[in-house]
Amino acid sequence: MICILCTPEDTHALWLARQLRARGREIELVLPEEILVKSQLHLSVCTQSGSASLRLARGLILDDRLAGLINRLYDLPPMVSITGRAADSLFVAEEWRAAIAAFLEMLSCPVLNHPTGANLYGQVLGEGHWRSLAARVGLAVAPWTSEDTDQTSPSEAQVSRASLFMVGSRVLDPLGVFAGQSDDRLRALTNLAGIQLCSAVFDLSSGQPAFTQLNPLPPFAAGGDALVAALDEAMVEAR
Amino acid sequence: MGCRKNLTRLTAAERLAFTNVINQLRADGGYDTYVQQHQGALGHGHGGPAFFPWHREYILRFERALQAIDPSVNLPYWDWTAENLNPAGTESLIWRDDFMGGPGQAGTGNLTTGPFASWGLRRSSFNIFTFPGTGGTIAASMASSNYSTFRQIESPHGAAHVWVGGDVGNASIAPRDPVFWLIHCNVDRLWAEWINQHQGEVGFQAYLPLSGGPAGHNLNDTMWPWNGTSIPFGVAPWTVTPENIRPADLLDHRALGCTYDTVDPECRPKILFKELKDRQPKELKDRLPKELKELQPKELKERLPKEFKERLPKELKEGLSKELKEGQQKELLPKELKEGGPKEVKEIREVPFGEPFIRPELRPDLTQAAFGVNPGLSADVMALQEELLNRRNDILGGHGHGS
Repeated sequence: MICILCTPEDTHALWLARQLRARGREIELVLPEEILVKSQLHLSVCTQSGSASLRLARGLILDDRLAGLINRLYDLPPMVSITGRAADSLFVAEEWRAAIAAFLEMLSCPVLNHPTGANLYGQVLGEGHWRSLAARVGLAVAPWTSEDTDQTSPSEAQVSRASLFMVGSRVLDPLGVFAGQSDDRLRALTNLAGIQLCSAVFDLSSGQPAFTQLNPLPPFAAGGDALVAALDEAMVEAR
Repeated sequence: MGCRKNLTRLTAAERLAFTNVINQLRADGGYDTYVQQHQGALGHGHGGPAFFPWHREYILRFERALQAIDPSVNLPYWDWTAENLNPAGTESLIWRDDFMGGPGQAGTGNLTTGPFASWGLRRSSFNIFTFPGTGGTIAASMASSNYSTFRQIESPHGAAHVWVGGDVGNASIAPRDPVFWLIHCNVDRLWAEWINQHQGEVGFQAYLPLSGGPAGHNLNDTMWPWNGTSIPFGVAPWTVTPENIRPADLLDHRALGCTYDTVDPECRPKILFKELKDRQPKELKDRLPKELKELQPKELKERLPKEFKERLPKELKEGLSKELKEGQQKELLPKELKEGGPKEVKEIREVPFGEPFIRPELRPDLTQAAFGVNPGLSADVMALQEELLNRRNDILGGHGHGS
């Protein structure tokens, strides 16, 4: 069974679930709310090993028996403490965030992506930071200044941008515009960032692909069947 | 962005604030104007397409008038298709003495309970454990993507007015009873929910007619009384400076600064952790080193853990051990710490201890970057989405308590 952690609004995750089911895979969609409400979380940490298990109120158990977990947990639902104090609510939220991050990190099945200390769904950096890292691994990088505010509308951005997708070490080029020229450098960048599943956005306006940012919540549908197949294989191969 | 939520989610403090501010507006002389406006708009805001936009603007202005007195207040809504009781089913959450008051007295219909008991209102002598219903009719209208079908909801809305009866059951004076605002906030929520539900569909129109309808009812017609004319309704407007308020300006509730807990994520119910308060003292006590647990309150005060000291205000930190012993600066301490005893250990957390680990505003918003290509909502994806939304509603509908 493959688990996809996502919200109902994440249509890309729903699309992926549908595609994987069409390939005969057993898919369980799990909501962030299900993780928190009337669930049972067990974390066992020993010197040599550890185990993690999450039992949802509906009886579903998420543990090492999963074939894989696709983590689209952008954030946990807002929580409030009945004490009404903001400090208590923040305390609850951060404790939960830490517990869920530990759970995801401890699963032995493929987890795409693993949480980081700062984000539940993988490494997230600002555009300037991403471009700095990309330049370090030799990728051509679009210019960026601290005044850039990322205000380009999606419709404008789509005209002059294209994405590569990464699944593990596989690089997918659904539009066929990169001719494999950036693959190794992109692998180096994702290794550096510790990300297994992402899309890398390139600016094509100058005629040559110039890296702009890396997204750990890739728009699956833009990756098409090749991305679905790669994800499917990544889960199967890991077993 | 104001959050308009189901009245069943109001806290006691929110109920008090809402009723207080309405009473204050009435005491200031600002309430009756709204009753008169509604009376003047019987032929404009009712029985036609403008029913939804006219009332959206109307309740928005009322809400702003309330917020001018108490900015924390937002209109709540009454979903009259469901019972509005406490989880045990023993208590009404709307017909209560600290909110809308009860039904009218048997025989006279006089409202004699609640914050508006002195207003001289009348209501039917309804059973507070029942409700008007009409959910099926509303669902049928909501299912259609055609505005002309959707706006048939005006009929079940009328049923809610009639069920309460008395003043609010009489269209010409309905806003006299503050229940009116709860009914119409729900009407407005249904419009927002309907638009949200259908707006991706081909050819969808959030409002009709675009043109060719009666004056004041077309998408770009200005509406009375805000346009400052007495034409075509022949009623003096209550406006000094005419404003062009058109149905077209009112299609997006969010653009007006409102959100609903059934539509907008930021307004949705939050998971409530009721156990925290009960567990807090014991947990904190358990974490104390053995020797500290055994200390008497006075000694404990002098031996606060280092990290607690660091969270204290600077002036307390610097003089803590010496000055506390001498009884100085005690007035700076939280009440519980002054009183001593185990509570001080629990309540020390009330000292502000900084921002959350990652402040929400600093979490990067990747929604645009991530979802640049919309996969579209095929029937399969829509079915999945529906399933998940229902599941979420089931989870959060269970009184929002977590464990």
